[in-house]
Amino acid sequence: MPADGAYDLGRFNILLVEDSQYILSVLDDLLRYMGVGNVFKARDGVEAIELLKQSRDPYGGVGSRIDLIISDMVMAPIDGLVLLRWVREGKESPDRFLPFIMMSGAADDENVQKARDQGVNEFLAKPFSAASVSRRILEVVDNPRQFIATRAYFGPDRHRKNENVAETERREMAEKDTNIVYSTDRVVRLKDPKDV
Amino acid sequence: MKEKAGGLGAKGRGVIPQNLLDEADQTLERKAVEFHDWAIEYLAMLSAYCVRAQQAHLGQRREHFDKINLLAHELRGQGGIFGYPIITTVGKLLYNISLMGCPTDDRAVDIVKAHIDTMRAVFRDKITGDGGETGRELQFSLQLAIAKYLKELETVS
Repeated sequence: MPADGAYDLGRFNILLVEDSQYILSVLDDLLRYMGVGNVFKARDGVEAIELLKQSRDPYGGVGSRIDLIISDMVMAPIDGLVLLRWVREGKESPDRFLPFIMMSGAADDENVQKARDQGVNEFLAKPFSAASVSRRILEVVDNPRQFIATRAYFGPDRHRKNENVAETERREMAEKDTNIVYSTDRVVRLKDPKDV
Repeated sequence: MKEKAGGLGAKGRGVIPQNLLDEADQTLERKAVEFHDWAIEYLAMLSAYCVRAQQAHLGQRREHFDKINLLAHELRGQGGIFGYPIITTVGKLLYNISLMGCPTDDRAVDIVKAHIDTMRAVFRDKITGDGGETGRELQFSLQLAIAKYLKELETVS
């Protein structure tokens, strides 16, 4: 790491998904000015899924190189929530742990909760600024969360700190019902691989 | 990702160089000029859907309100990015008032039109930032219209 703690995003590959042509070009420029090396663009969830499916290409499609997805929430025909669910649960998802930032002009509690319940890493409210975009990216880079698998959820731990989920989860679940499937600070053996 | 950004063995929190963030902010400022043109197009579409809603029978207005809701959502998210926070504020109000389940009667169409007229005034007079006295007066007039509309809704229900 450089002495001043400055990151170089030149090797990053970010997939932008946004149905507004104008915002797509603005975000593209923003990320490039911030030093992001490669920005891939999709105009909706359908295009994004097609791009990500290319990772199944043994010769290295685009999807296998994506480090982070930044997606608008409200799009048609496939919106950000459906795209996120596909990334987290789809059989053809190139990486179920792929970091995902959801963006929306309607950053109401209800929408934020919906995104969390689908397994989002971070939520970016519009209107955004260079600072708010960079804060969300840095949060994903600096604080990767352990992934949790239950019968109803697969995604980043919805608690900010790496706590024992079974002790603090408000729903009535026992430790046997949860699997920590990925943690950056310890190796985890699945209780039952069929659960993931 | 951390090692990709910070190098092998990177630990602790990193930052994106401030000069890069400053350049990124400057690009947003440059884009504000283009945004004005895009926003005028959005307003034209909003006006068109508003007219269609007005001309449609009550039972057929929902689809036009849905389109108005989507455009309000876009303007709400974009206004503040490009120096028009009043557009974000008014966009949010219009978004709320045109959501699925909201009334679509003639009063609802009138209040939608009031929102569009406010946004048109903002762009016509290029009222950026908080807009000073003019911005406050515009928002106050709209708030009065909304309050009157909501009171009428309560009376009816």
